[in-house]
Amino acid sequence: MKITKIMVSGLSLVALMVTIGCGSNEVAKTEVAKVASQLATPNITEESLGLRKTNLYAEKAETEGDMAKYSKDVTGASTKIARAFENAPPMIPHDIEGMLPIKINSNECLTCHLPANAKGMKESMPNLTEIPASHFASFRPATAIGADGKITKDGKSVDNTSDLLTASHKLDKLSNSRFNCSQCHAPQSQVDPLVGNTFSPEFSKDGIGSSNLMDTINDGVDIK
Amino acid sequence: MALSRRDFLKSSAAASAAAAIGMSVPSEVQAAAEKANAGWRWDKAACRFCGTGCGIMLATKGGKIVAVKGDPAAPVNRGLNCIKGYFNAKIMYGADRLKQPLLRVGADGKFDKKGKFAPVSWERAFDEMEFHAKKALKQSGPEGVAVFASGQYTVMEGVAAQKMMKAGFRSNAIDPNARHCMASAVVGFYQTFGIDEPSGCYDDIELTDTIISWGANMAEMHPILWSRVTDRKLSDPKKVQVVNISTYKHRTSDLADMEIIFSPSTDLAMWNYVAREIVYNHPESIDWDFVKKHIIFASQPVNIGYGMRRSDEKSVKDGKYTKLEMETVSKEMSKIVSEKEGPALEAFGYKAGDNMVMKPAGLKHWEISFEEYKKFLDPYTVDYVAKISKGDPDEDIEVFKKKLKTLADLYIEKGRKVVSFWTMGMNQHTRGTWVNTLSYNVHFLLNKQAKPGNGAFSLTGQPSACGTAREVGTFCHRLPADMMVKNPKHRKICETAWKIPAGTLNPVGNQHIMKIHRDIEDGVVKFAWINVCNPYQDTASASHWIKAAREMDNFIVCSDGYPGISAKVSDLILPTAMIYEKWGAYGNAERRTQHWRQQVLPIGDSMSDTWQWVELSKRFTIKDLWGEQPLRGKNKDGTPKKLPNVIAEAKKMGYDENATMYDVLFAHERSKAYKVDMTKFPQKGYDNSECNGDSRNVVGSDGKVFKGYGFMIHEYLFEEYAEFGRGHAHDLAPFETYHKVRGLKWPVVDGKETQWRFNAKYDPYAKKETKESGNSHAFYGGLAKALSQGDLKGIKDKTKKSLKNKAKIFARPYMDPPEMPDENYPLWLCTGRVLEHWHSGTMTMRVPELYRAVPEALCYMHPADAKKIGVKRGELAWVDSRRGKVKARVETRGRNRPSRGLVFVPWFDEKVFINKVCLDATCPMSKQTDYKKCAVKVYKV
Repeated sequence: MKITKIMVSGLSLVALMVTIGCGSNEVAKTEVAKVASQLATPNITEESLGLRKTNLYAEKAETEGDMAKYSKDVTGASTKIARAFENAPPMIPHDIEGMLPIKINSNECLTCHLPANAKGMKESMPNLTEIPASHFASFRPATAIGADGKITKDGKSVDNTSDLLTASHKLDKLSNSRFNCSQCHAPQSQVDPLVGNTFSPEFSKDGIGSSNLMDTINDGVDIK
Repeated sequence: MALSRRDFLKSSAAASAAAAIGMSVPSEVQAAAEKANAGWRWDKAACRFCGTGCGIMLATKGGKIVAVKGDPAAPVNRGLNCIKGYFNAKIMYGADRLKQPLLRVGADGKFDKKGKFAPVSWERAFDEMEFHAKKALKQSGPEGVAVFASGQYTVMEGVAAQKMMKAGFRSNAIDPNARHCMASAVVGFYQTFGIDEPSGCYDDIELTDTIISWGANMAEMHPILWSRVTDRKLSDPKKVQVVNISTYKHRTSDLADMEIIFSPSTDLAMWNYVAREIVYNHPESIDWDFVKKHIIFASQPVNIGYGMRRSDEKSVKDGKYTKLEMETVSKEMSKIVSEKEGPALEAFGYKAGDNMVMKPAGLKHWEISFEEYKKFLDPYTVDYVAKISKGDPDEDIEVFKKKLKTLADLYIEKGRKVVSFWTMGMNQHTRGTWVNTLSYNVHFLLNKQAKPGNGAFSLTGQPSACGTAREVGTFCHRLPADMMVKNPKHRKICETAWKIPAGTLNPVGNQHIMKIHRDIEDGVVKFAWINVCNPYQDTASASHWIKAAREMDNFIVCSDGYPGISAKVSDLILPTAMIYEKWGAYGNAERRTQHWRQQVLPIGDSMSDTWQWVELSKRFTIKDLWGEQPLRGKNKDGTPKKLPNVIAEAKKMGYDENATMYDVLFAHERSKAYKVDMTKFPQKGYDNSECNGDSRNVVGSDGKVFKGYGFMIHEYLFEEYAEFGRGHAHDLAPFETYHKVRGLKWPVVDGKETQWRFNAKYDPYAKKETKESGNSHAFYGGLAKALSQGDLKGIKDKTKKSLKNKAKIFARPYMDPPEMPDENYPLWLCTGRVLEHWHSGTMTMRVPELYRAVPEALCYMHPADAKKIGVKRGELAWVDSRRGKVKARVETRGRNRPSRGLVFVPWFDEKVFINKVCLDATCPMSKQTDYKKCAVKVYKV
């Protein structure tokens, strides 16, 4: 079944309103009453629930996986996909055929997305996402065993590995721990989600189009 | 619609809607965004997904989570998450969250197994559970009431479930999905060290020179640990060596210096090859001083079967298994020793062509001499091992031999630090316990275990497989802190702590998760409750279990956030609070315990598993449960097994026989001492739906609005449980401490965590044990630490010799799995996960970004195999075994690239229900299912 884009936003909106509604006591009480009136109404079939709407007990023609339809847009010709929330890893809008796997000596993602390379490409690819500052830093203190055999973090002897609350080392190259791009960034099949999702993000001005994580990563970290 | 389109766009929700349909963000939203970020409340939590145990930060505003980031203070992941980790919040907001209990009813409104679902009240839901649990107790005794438990339970949920099941119902039929995930690792730990869980920690990654992955795709399944490996590798690419040992090529190979593709199950032979290289060809590399002080050698029976059903079991006798299925299942009784395994089994008295009669042997083993162990290793020459282990038919055998030698050299090289990691490849294995112990053999001989940067390290699959399943002991045979139900002293300790009469606890704990399914099929278990897992999608030979649930006389209850397959086949579905809708704690694979606070209110009328257990406990009195109860089977003297009546004893302790299990187990003086105090850290400013109720005014199990228990039940459950381990090498810090720190690795002694267990320099328990001897290590676990003496084939002297503070090296041979490719089913099938989805996909398939990243489970296969059956990349094929078949689209160039002869199909997709195809053979010692090996044919649809 094909649902148009507008219908999907409509569905999300309905779901959103239901959720907002549940937040207030009045609506919650009405819902309870509604439940009571439905007591004797077995109207929910097993097939109507969940992601698989076909017969669970037999594997017949009607049951098959949802075929992926990844973007065939070449790099530079694709439309940026909005981030899911502030500083969420951006998803890949272009065709990645032939770009994976990432190997120790070949990481094709870097060809365009490394800021040093991206600068020169911006004219032809205005949407090109540059790898942000957060990827040119390490937040992991250096681990070593000190002369006394005790573990050290950034040279300090620690009893507990969480004793050093935060560490931040700026790097002049991409952090080695962020070398596996596909660990966080994935292409997106152009299919409708199976069910809506009512998560509502909030964006700061800086966070809407790009990452400001390097400036905000330690916000709220000190728990009191 | 009440909102105009313009209003809608102005709301920040539009950004997610836009993201959901892949369009760029309209400018109106950008304008609105200026004001955002104000009033965000950041708090820490643990990730919901794998056993790595990353820390995340959650931003909450207006009762909803609005953003997630990697916690820069968390030592595990220091600010970085994987793709799933970033979507932790979105898993709670799928539009089809369950909001009310749903019961199958007929037109008359009464429960009807064949009926459709109708929404019912919590009160009605508990009425039904009470009725059916009582009915099951009457029909089958305590063994008729079962729980499918979880390695994804919070610690507190596990404690609540464990207490009500084992102390209340006196049933040990509670076993977690963690059984499918790391039971073989556990038995490996117990047999080797006498105590569960790893000696090392994740800091080993930064401190080692060599990372060898055996049967693990860390790049996808433990991505943050893999990012640490990558960091280490790239920081010193020449010195640091990475080896990937697997039955097929996958992302972990992409960064490896060497990849070894082996034939399924022959990891047993390869470990023994490395040990043989040490013992026969590099004896100078053995640290004899260490070995003599710390190690003994051991053997065991080999004709132990494959954990399948035996011919005398009811459903087999009733003909519920087809002739095709029985071709494999019959090997549980006997099999012919193959040419492949013949040489390995000779030292145990078998040769190729012999009929091996299988006998259940439990965990029996005995001490042998080093000379016997050496004799056992003799057949594992490079020629034999390369011949049976080479997994890629297109690889030259000489190239493979060279790889084996390089592997051995890396382990043996003096001064080179080596970490061996593994996950499901070695755990989901019909000889899983064996292969786990073989890893320690190599590390022990070289004295490269339990030291910084050195050690064999079992990675765990689930977020609290360690914390809840293992440490709390929500297994059928376990009690908290490594205690066992069959040990009378351990039962006594629990009975005393829980203030229940002596003799209440059931000493028979054998209903592991496969046995629960089989007991349902045999008509013994009549009431089963599913908690935080999806047993009807995740169990092999799935058609048997879904049929038994739907067609037999039983009552299946499923608590879940979403209607997954298990909910659909159940009779009653309970809407359940998800991860950050409750207070909780998880324990990860490096023994790190991490707590979080409730961030938001649950959706609809959902309530937590803890609440559901505690509410159920109100429905059962001492009189209902603590009279004499029948058990299956007979005692040695021929009398029927039973549990004693302890009601009189309970009365002596001051209990009224009409007191409910709520009074006895959960709400008493001890628990009420844990106060709700909303003015102080850590409770101040945070919801607590169980203790205070909440603004939803959920109508509870008694038909009245639930106003909370009035005491801090989370702290109580945690502290009561933690007390079992304190002073017993499982020390946990106080509840409040965990809310201030990013987790601590137990044992936590004097506020200090333990980095390397058993090492006298780092582990206070080892330090104490080595005070007199001055030894470097003490393997102080207490289980099976006195053994009879014998040779490879059996016991010669029954006198038990103590091996206090020692660990064991086992002589465990290569053996075939029970089902292997043949003419009719020519391919191996391996199943597992993908990076973007968690387990059965119930949560992650509802996050649009993750669904779109990988919307379907593919059948990964070699292009030549696809060509042979006339299927092109992207076309549908049947994957067909003796048990069933499913359709999947064929992928020949994806992230997984098997050699000819093997296909890989992940199991997250309800529409590609691969567990109908898989075989429910298990490691007979650990009872963990082997999801990695069965035989299939693949053909065009």
